[in-house]
Amino acid sequence: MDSITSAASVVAAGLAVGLGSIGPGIGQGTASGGAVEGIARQPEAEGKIRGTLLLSLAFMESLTIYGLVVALVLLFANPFAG
Amino acid sequence: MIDPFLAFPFSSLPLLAAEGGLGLNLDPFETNIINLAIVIAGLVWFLPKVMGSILERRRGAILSDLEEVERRLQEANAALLAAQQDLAAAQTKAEQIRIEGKSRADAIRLDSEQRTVEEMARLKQSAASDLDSEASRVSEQLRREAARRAIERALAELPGQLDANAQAKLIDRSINTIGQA
Amino acid sequence: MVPLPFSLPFAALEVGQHLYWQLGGLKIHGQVFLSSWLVIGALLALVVAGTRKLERDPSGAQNLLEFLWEYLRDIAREYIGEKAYRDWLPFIGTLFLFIFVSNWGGALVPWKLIHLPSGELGAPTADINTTIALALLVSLAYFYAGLSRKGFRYFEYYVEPTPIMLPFKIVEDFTKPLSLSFRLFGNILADELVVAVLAFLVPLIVPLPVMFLGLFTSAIQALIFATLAAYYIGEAVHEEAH
Repeated sequence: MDSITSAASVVAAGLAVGLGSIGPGIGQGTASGGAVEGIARQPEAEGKIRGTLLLSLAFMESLTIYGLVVALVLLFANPFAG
Repeated sequence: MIDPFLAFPFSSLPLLAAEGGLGLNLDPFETNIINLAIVIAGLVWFLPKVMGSILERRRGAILSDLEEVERRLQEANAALLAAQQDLAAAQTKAEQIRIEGKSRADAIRLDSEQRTVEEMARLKQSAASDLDSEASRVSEQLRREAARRAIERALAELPGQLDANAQAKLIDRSINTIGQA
Repeated sequence: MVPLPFSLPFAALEVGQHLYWQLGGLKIHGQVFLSSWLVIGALLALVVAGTRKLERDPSGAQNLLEFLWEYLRDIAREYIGEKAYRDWLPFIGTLFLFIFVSNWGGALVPWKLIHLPSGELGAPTADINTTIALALLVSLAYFYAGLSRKGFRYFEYYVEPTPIMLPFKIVEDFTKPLSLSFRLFGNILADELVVAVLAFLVPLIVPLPVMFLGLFTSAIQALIFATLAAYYIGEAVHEEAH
């Protein structure tokens, strides 16, 4: 694979993961904050709040994972190589 | 207990080793086996406690539910038995009342029959006496009627038959009879 | 993943290397089949051993299996609804159990003890083909659920609140399996890669927290896959008064 494709792939992989984790990171922080506030307000609802929080975190995590997948493809299964 | 995950590879190893390039890799760093052993040990120590308590609680709940249900079944059976006994007692009592009632009804019937018979005899008697009195009344009336008619006839005939002689004789006779009456 | 005999010089990792088996005109990834068979065998062994002698007093494996069954039934009943959940409970249960055991099996079983001629053994769900297959099964399942329950009235769902939603709903039909498959694949492969990289860099203690985190997140991913599958099926069969 010629050097410019490699360089571009590496930079793109880094950007994909880096930028792709900003939004979900903010979202997960907001969701956790809301969950903690809910637990503080009503401690007996902790079980349900925790379950909902974990489910929502996993959904948001998947958006970061999409970026990671693109990075992995660029690094290890690059369609432009060769 | 044989860990099912680990039992598989070793048993089929001779088969696999026959093919090219297959074999057992024993490098501890590449296979990460030390870390894996620590992780599995941690899980085996931690998971049974957590899952164990949940499962124990579930099992306890199920057993207590079963006991409760069995206890209620026994209570229900005892109640059923008691109710059946009550039913039998009530039935005999009802039978008794029925028989009693029947005998009393028979007695009343006989009694009333008798009274009816007596009543009818009385009625017949009174009817008969009524008839007698009626007959005597009627005969009385008839006699008076006959007497009246006789008197009327006599009175009607008398002036024709009565002259001065007959009248003097009649008055004498009457004076005599007055003396004798 | 595009099969290339390509490995970076600084990592003793191989991503994208597979053990190819020839089946007719197709090349299939043999290592995925091997690990899948192991997962299926383990699940069947657990179920057969646990239901060997069913007693009224649940103990041990029977208690565990009953607890799992109740958990799956609660998920199915909550998302699909009271009327139709019984038909789909086996499907949801299989998805959850297969994904869960394959994720945890991939993280816990010392696969690298076996050296394959090409490629490595790992979790079956770390291969995009597995997860796409599962996601397409879910797609097929919710289409079948909707069509079999409502006939062609199922397509009213596309214009349900307003007809403007039609293009969005059509795009959703494509993104649902895509997101399902990529979420699962990305999580599992990322966990495997992170552990491998950390183990390559610092072999002994440092990978441990990441391994525990990987166990936790992979369990959550199995639950999410099953929950989303139940939710899509529930959406497809829902009556108006849902």
